[in-house]
Amino acid sequence: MSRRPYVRPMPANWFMSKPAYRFYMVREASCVFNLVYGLNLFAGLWQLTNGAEAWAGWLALQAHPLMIVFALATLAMTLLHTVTFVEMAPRVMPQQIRKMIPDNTVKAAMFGGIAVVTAAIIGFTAMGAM
Amino acid sequence: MTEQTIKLEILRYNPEADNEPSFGTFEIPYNEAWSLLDALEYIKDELDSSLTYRWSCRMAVCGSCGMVVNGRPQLGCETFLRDHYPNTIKVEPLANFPIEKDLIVDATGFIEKLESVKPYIIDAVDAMKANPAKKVKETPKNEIGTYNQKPAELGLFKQFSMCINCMLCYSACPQMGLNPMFTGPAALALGHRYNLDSRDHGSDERTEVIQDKNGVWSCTFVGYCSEVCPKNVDPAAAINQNKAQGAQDWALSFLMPRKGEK
Amino acid sequence: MQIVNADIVIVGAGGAGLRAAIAAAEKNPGLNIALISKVYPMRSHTVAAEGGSAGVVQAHDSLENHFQDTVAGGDWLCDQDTVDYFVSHSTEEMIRLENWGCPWTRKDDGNVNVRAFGGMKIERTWFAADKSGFHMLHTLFQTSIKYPQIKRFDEYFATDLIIEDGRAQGVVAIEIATGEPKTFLGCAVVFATGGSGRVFRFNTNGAIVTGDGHAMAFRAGAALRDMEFVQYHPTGLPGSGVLMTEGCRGEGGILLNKHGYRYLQDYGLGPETPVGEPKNKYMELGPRDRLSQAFWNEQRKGNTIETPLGDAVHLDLRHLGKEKLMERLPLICSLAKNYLGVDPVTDPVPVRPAVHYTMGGIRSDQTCKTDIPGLFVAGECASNGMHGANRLGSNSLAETVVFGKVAGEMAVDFASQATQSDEKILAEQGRSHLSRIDAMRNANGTEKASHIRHEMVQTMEKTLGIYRLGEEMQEGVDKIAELRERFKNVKVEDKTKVYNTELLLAFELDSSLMVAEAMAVGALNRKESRGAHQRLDGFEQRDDENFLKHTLTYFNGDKAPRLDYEAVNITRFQPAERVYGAAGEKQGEEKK
Repeated sequence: MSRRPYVRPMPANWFMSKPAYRFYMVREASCVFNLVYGLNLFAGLWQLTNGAEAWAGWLALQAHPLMIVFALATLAMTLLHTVTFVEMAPRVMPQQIRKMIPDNTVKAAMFGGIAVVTAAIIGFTAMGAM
Repeated sequence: MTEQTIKLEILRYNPEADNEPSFGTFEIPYNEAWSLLDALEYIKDELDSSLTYRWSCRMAVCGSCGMVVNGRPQLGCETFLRDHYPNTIKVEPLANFPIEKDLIVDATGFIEKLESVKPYIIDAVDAMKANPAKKVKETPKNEIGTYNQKPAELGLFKQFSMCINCMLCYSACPQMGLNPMFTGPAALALGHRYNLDSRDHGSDERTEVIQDKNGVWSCTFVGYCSEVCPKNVDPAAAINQNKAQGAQDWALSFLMPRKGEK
Repeated sequence: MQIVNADIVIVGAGGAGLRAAIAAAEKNPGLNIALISKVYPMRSHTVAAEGGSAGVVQAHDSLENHFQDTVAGGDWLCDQDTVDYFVSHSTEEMIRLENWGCPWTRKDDGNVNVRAFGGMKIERTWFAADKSGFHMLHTLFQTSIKYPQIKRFDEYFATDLIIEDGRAQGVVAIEIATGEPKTFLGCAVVFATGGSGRVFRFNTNGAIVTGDGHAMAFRAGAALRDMEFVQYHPTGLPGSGVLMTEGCRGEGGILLNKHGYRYLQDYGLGPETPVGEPKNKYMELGPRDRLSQAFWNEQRKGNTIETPLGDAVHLDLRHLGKEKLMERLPLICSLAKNYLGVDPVTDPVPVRPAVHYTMGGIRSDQTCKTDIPGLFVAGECASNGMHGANRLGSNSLAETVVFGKVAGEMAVDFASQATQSDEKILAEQGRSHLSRIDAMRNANGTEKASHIRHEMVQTMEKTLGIYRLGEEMQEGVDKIAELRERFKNVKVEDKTKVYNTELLLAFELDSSLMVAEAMAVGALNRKESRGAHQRLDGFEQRDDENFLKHTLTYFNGDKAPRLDYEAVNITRFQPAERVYGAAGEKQGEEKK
């Protein structure tokens, strides 16, 4: 047998090879930011149960420049996550439903829903601060 | 006036002489009307008759000439020199397949995967043969013997029936490279095509392959497969619709344990 | 040399080969079927057919209408028993394809829709948008997967028929991936190897359409029949030859010369029909030979449009509107955009005639039998008398399945009655064909196969075009003979075994040259004009007295093929003047 198929190895950094892959990795990485930020919030809750001093310490930590950078990065990643999620969502809906409702309608509805929830949260937070 | 030329860098591999592939460079006359296939034919006819690649129809429907052009999986017949001139064009065989020779890859695994999804109509009779406990209602037929299928029912699966088996999506998919057992975009979309066809009653028969860990669950929705698809089949949508369906069936199986029992 | 034993060996896995395999598997599930193809089945050229497939289905249509359209379209060179069989079985095959999942375009009520096509009196062309062949082929391929007794040998290149005891008992084929020749043995052989349009330079065909099956049967003693009838499709894209389906005109597209004039009315196809209201057998819905001939005449008159890729006329689809174009002709739109940068929604598409189909082929009858017992043929490679001197659009896709089925079933019948000759003798014969393969592999002459091929396709285009002259055809005959001679001194530079496509190209060229010679010799000696064979040297008329007969060519070693003729089977439809447009309508009324 003269056949000798050559199998190209998959490089460990395959995700760097194409813009589409890099974007995919960033998209997937966005959830890591949310996870860490979520843990941070839980830590805040935990500190709240530990009394005013612990809570103040946690609040002080949030004001640290690095934490602000992290919060902003999380915000950016969350927005990316949201946009990509909404963009992909109609394609995952059962084909029967997809054929009935245009993709853009679904996306608009999802963005609308997210906007309402976001506004509500910001609203309640603002009211709580008053 | 000197003749305009264009350079092609082609990944060459001769299994009977080379240990690994390496690039060969060809300089050919530049012709605005030429597709990449025309350029390869020129090289084979005039410069190096051993250059090896697959091609046939020249009109993007036979699916033979998938190759990687400047890093992107494309059909050779749909790639035009004018879109790259005066830059060098880098041509490689499809990624995630073993290279047999030059631009020809081993497609046997792909064909086996296509076959594995049972890509044919399983009618009510066959469906009940496969599972006598199941009650299947025959799709109604028209007077002349064709199934009655409304344009909307056809529209449901039409897009997934457009696949030309060019394998660009397999080349685009990193999960395919990481897990060669992955059934892959084209084959899963084909299974989905039949599941969505109102004439078909075989979705239960396809579940095992489609819902397997090497089936839709090997996909992480990178989505590049759908981007490179020359026929807008959107295999990523097909796969992820099946994930949603699979998750729903799994959840329902707790509420109604009898469902899905054979 | 490895021997692969089967009961039936099928060469070619396009529409006809796959249908034959399925028919054989259904007729006798106990038989082993080896399905050999030089490409993966879905690459077969059936895939490129666009417009549709004919089968009478409307209440106001009849089998007799389809029969008459086909026979008149073929300029009475059709065998009428074959056409009868064809028209009475094509609809059931279309229905069967539907049952197997073919996504035919539908009407709102859930019935299958049909469209108008050239030369057809009533709409009877089943279509799946403008990818009818693609969908038929994929449906057949996918359905064939259901049958475990169909064992596919994808990417195997058949080189020779094995004939023992006076009958076909297998083939020798090279496994392309390894370069290893193998002997396939079976009690019956089916050829469904497609046409040979690639012997012409400007064509709509895929690279694989090189006449391999023609040449294999020819060398084994079967007659090639009516090879001079080569169809020019009137609407190919300049430069590439990519096909713009006849469905464009079936949907209402019109052809314009450089003055924006619908020139077809000057060629016996008028009077002009209103734009957007196509009328069957009028104007743009005339038959392909007439439309291509009209282009040639317009070019002579200086009425064609000069484009960088050669002279053309305009195929105007703009009045159909974007929505209809996207629904009915999406492939056409993307092809015109990609290959010419023209959007049919906003601009007319330049088109010109291109070689499309070989009406002739391996001599057979309506039962697919050939001159060689045990060898059955179906599809474009066959000349069963279906198409006569000019094929009607949408009859060939239907032909692949109608006669694919017949070939498969006939092969089963033959195989169940025949006993295989001694395997040792057959194996010995298989080995004897190795010398030809080895000779080709080691060919070390001075001629470049690619250059011989270039000369062949140019010669054929120049000397056997839409209109033909005796002098030029003689030039063609001589040139092809010269090229055959030069081919003996060919060089195959690539000596590797794995995927040696240079070797395969050499085999294909060898076949193409034989087919080209049969075409040229047949054409030169047909001293009349009929259908796709039109002469301008004193033989401008159809001559039923002398040439209402099939041309037979037989392999004659290195010499030009031996010629013979045979009668056409005419059952009830006597030859008449072949007229379209208003004249055709008048003739129809007079008959009533």
